[in-house]
Amino acid sequence: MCARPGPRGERVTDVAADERPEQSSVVPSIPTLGESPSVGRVPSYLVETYLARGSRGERAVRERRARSAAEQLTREGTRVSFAGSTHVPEDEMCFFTFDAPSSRAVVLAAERAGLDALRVVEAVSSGKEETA
Amino acid sequence: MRKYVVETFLALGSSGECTAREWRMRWAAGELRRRGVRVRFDRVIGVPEDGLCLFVVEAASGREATLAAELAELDRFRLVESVASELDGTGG
Repeated sequence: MCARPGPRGERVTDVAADERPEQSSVVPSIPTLGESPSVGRVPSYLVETYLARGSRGERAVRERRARSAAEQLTREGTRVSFAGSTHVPEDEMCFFTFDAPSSRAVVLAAERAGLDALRVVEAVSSGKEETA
Repeated sequence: MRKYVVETFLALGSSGECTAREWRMRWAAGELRRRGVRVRFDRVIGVPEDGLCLFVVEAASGREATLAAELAELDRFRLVESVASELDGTGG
């Protein structure tokens, strides 16, 4: 094991390869709030849609339409960007995330993409973890 | 790697809590990866209106995703497998 400073200067202990992963008795302390959480920084809207659990291919199809609709609206002067989709087969729900100036713009994007939205709700989102 | 949604619930009026959980989840994923656990934070979606804070994580299995949620000290959470789009970002 070796100790090193964590993201907030706290002591974090690495576990040697032969001890990992789950049997470690070392429980590093969770750092307090860091410098760059992204929730609260990026306003977004979530479009909730129904998608049956066996329709994984359909998610990709709808995603292409969502991206295309966002691009089309942007070309027309309403800045909308598509930020991703998440299908939860167990719940038969598929969420599409857009960044846009208003919910109205997102409703329009969802309509053009034929997403058949159940609800459009304001959300905050962030992107992928950056690792070295 | 598969993608999982870790669904957590927020108390009313605790808007900052999702931010704090995001930080802990990012940290937990990084910490576990250093120990050889295949897990990675993908994104967070907070829905204040519903008191929801959803984390999408990539993991070898639900067990690894659960480890991350536990290390992040998410008291009550629901883990479900998901299919999510690939986001632009640095690989890791």
